[in-house]
Amino acid sequence: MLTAEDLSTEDYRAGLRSWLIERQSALAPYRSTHAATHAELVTLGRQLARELWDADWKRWGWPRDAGGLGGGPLHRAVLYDELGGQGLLLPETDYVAEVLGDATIRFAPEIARKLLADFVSGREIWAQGFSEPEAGSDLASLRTRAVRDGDDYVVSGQKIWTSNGYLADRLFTLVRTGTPDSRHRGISALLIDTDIPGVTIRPLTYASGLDEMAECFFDDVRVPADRLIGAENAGWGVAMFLLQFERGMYAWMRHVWLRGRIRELAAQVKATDTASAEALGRAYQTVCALRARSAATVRRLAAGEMVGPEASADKVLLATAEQTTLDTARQLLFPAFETDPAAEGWRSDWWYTRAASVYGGSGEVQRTILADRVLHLPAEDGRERKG
Amino acid sequence: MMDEETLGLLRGSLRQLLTTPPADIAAALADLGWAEVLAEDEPAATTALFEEQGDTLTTTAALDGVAVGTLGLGSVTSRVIWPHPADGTGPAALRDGGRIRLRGIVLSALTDETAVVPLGDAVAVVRTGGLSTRPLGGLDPDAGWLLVDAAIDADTLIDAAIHGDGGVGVGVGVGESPPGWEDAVAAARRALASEILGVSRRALIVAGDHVRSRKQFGRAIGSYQSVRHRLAEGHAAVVGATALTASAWVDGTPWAAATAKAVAGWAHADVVRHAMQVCGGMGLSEEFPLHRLVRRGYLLDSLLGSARMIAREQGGELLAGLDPPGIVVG
Ligand SMILES: Cc1cc2nc3c(=O)[nH]c(=O)nc-3n(C[C@H](O)[C@H](O)[C@H](O)COP(=O)(O)OP(=O)(O)OC[C@H]3O[C@@H](n4cnc5c(N)ncnc54)[C@H](O)[C@@H]3O)c2cc1C
Repeated sequence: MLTAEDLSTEDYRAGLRSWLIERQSALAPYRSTHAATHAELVTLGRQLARELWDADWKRWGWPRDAGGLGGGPLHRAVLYDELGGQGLLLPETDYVAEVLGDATIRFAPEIARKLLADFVSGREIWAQGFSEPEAGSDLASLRTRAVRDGDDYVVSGQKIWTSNGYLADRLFTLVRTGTPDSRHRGISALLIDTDIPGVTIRPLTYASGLDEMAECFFDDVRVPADRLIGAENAGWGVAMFLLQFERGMYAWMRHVWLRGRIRELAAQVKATDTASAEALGRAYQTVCALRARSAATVRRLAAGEMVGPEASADKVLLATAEQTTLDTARQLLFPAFETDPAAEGWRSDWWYTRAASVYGGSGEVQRTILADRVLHLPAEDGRERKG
Repeated sequence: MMDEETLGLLRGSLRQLLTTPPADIAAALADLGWAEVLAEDEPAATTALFEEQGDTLTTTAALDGVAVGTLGLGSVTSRVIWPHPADGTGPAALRDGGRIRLRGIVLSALTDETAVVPLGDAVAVVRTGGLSTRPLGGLDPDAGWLLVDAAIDADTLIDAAIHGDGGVGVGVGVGESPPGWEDAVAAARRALASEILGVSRRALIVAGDHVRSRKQFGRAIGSYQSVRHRLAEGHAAVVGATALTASAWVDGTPWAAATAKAVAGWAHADVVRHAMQVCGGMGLSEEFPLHRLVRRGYLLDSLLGSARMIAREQGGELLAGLDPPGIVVG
């Protein structure tokens, strides 16, 4: 069998590309990116993930211990780039897998060995349950309690805005294992199966009508203690590690998606005036800046470097690219954007890009990190210094 | 590839060299062993030179060297007559019967006997003797750019050095197609992107220093969130543009170089908008250095296609059906 060293990312790219082109017609169903419902989009993505997994392409980039074939984030980055290059969708579940996967491997190798392959191959759905009604930007104030009782943790509390939550088999959560006021020192990461009694999940409809998110309620849910990811009370470190991938790989995936939006927008727009051209060109350029920057970040992650506060710039660039691109779509598709029932996909995308400056650390949070830790500007008066 | 330490040393020497701007940058760089430095790591060396040049607001004709080198005309001349900003990437000269109409920019006084000029679809070398120039003036007179606006006899051309236009490229082997103006523009655009980013980084430093020391309402203005966030946003824009400029070297296409220059131009515009706001009245005074950085960045943006012109051009191509190129990132 080949090892990752045998298959350079460039050989991987070439092989994958010819495979995708050969199977062009078989892959046609994955070309439509405007599914009617989120559940349909997830299903489509899981099928694609399965096909890619069964043909081994998707096993590259994940360690052998976790059912993969070796290699690392760079193989995965190439996979998404090539899928996008062929006009195919990126499996919806991979946006989450890219955020959670490496942290699972690093902090819970045993869990990764048993379960990660099912997630990455699209057999299972995991979701990220961090945010709570009272803990948004101030994540360290989260209150969902987990109390050790024999071999279990007993979990009570509520999560909100959980993407793919109502479809999920497992929830990668942050819970409070320390005292109520222990903030980031008393948080643990726990993988909770959604079929355990006491877990209730309700879809939460997004402004666009998209049924993507959920609220998750935990009522004395008994979770085996071996589902701890990292040590007890070491969850903040897990979250910080994982955030690097959210800023690096997630942004890379979104740039692939944005490139596809620009392609489709250019194909739909009839206008040829210079103002339209300029707006489209500028949107494309913001996506190029994001591509270049997140590639550099992914490369650092692949080399095992800690990316640190600098990655907040990636998140700012992501929000800029997302919002500029879909604002341009709104303007260039006038008045279809406002009046045409068939333009629902564009409206839905427009709404979703509004969230790019909110989720995973808002635009303000990122700017504050850059101001404090990269530019070393004076601290905000009266603001608690990050511990 | 140059390692971090070598690169640091190189930047130090470049900085020193630029503190007293040499009249003949080509000779000064040659003294520094520039040819070997380029041979070792052209992207890193070029990026360092132009970032330092932007940072120190120095003007030299180093950009000419980039274009001349790309064209393989280094043994013939060291200077370039650039297209006037109004004409984007050119040409700077057109045939008009037996005469040639020149309209362009030179970055410093023409002391060489010859210069490269984009002529119609080709690249020509002209004798510069008797070619009159006058200061460009405008937004940034300190840059010292000069306007060339003249009609010359066609026999001022040095025929042997004409690329395209039926001539033969100097130093080009049989069967190779010589690098053309498009390649020279691409190389110059990568350099200009770095220079614009050097200017932008300096503007962030100047503004950062100001908001740390200036106090209002009893505290440093740099502790106010909106001030902090403006500078953070400028920083993010510069970071993105810097990464894209590095990618433009890896990618190597004129398209990537154009994109990098445009994104650097947009980043500069963002940075100086924020920097001017947070520096208050001081930022708008003659004595404070910020206005020079504002002027220089916009002037550099205007050469070889502004950010806006490039966006328009690229958007036009996308609308015409070009698949959005994914810049090669290495
Ligand atoms: C589409 C979408 C998908 C999501 N998916 C998930 C998911 O899968 N899992 C998950 O756990 N969470 C998810 N989230 C939640 C997301 O991470 C939170 O929305 C985010 O952390 C912000 O919290 P909040 O919404 O409570 O906003 P708030 O924290 O209330 O912020 C509201 C506004 O106040 C500003 N603000 C807050 N504090 C400060 C400050 N100190 N200085 C300046 N401004 C400040 C913010 O920047 C923002 O503009 C998702 C959210 C969205 C919109």
